[in-house]
Amino acid sequence: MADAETVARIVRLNGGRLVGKTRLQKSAYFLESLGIGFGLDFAYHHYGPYSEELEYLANDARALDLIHVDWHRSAEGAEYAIFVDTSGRVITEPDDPERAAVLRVLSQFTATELELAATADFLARNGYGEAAWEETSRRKASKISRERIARAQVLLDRLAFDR
Amino acid sequence: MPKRQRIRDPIHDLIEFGPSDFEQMAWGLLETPEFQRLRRIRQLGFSELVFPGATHSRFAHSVGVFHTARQLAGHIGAKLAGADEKRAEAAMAAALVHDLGHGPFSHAFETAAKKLVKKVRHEEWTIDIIRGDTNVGRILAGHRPGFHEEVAQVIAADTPQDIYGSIVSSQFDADRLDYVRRDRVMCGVHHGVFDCSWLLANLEVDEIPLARDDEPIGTVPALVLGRKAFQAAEAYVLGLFHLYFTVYFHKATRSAEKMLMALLLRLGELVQDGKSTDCGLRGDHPILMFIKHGSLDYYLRLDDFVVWASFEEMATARDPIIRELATRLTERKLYKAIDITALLDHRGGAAATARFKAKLAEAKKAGTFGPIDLLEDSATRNPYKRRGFETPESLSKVLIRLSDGTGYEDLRECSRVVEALEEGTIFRVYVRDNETRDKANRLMEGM
Repeated sequence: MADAETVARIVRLNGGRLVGKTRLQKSAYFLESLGIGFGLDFAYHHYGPYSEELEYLANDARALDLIHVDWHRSAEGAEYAIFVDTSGRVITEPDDPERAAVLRVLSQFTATELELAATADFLARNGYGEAAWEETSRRKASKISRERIARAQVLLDRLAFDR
Repeated sequence: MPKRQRIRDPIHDLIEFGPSDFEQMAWGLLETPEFQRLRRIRQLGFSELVFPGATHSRFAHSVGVFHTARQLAGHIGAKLAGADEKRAEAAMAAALVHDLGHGPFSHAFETAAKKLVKKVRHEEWTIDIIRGDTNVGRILAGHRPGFHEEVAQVIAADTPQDIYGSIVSSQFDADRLDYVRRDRVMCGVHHGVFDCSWLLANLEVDEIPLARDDEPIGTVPALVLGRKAFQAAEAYVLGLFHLYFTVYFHKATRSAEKMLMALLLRLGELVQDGKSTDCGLRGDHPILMFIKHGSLDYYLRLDDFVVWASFEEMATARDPIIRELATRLTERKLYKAIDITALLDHRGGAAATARFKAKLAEAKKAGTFGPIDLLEDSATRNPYKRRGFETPESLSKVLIRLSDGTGYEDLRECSRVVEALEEGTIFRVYVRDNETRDKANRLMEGM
């Protein structure tokens, strides 16, 4: 069962620092999707698969000082969170190589690419089958480009074969 | 000559559907079984157990949202050179049908259905209705080729695609502009008042820059509020925020919602275990058929009336959990709330609440509580989301004209009130009886 420590663990598995709520959500989603998650439940929200429980657990982890959350503002004015392990150490987490390998793959892709890949993966598993990419493109028209779709597809391929 | 149709509404007074093809089509949507079902779904679900006046339906709200969307589209049409009538029609139709996918008791049922059947929110059911073999789908598709898909895409898009999309989904959309006013009036609460007509009278259109990551992709028209509407905009944001904590998150309402969720999840267990005859419902009851098949057809057979009526049958169930929850909901014998966030606010705040949750999880694992002794409830509300400028999400902002008449700024940049508002969070447990209450309270000892 997931708890506040789960969030700190994901941050540590990511090297002790994780940028953005989207990356936190999609990282946890892919771990669940690959059968090596923490028992979190994901449902479709506007930004793709989303776990409300994970959002609450992240707040608890911060309250318990298991992680720090630094707020930054992008050049366009949007606020985003950086989750940092409270020890401040860079951690390789040798005791959990399977999950760490997934996060290493995800770290090579942007948050938008993660969002597109997670959305297509979720839709494919929930009724859209082979039409999942077409539907993803419709829903995320403002984020879609040929390059991004190609990268997101590479991401899914790598998650399937690189572990 | 098509007949002009009229509806009297407690918030908007007269709502007319004119003789144009589009408005006649919209009226036709109201007459479909899918839309009539919304008469049997209350806008605020169990809130009526607390606010007896809150019996208004999603039907009334949907008509109000359409009316408001039409007003917003009218402002855009009057102020935007090159206004796109087809996009405006898609947005107004989307506003009208946006709630068709709500299940009975809305959010309580939705949360249970996500676990039992399909991991989606009500918007997905709405899209299924629009795209599916339904009366609504056929009427929309008949308006012009591909129109139903245009409407589905306005609802499915994760961020508004243009100024018309922001009518349907933004922090200043027709949905919010209707429900803040309607829910306040119908509940009989006297806060949450804002000057909607003044907001609409001060609507302007301006060009805002859009970018994708660091790549500029041009400018798009967006709704901007004139400076004279600054205080009205503040009151709107504050009023919406207050409604969450006084009405939508009311402890008795949420207790009933959690009880219904527990009941539905128990039904799911019985179905899965092949023991659905123990629940008191006939084998082909729509609730059971929906849990078994998860299809749109069965979903559309569910409404508040079906669920309320089912409680009476389930009150005689062989299964003791079903029997108790159904009886208690019928008789309004609700689980009592322990507001952990409030109780621990001065005893360590969020950290203490998080520690309580951990202790509770341990106690549950140790078997301290029975399966329905204690129901947990977490909720948060962000008063105003700071969106980035020059991103697609900037169409979701409330933009205020600068004092000198040039340009605009985000409401949160210019309002110290909105800037100071912080996300509100609740964590409560609802307890079955005094014994459970004492056990839960003991977990707080020493904190």
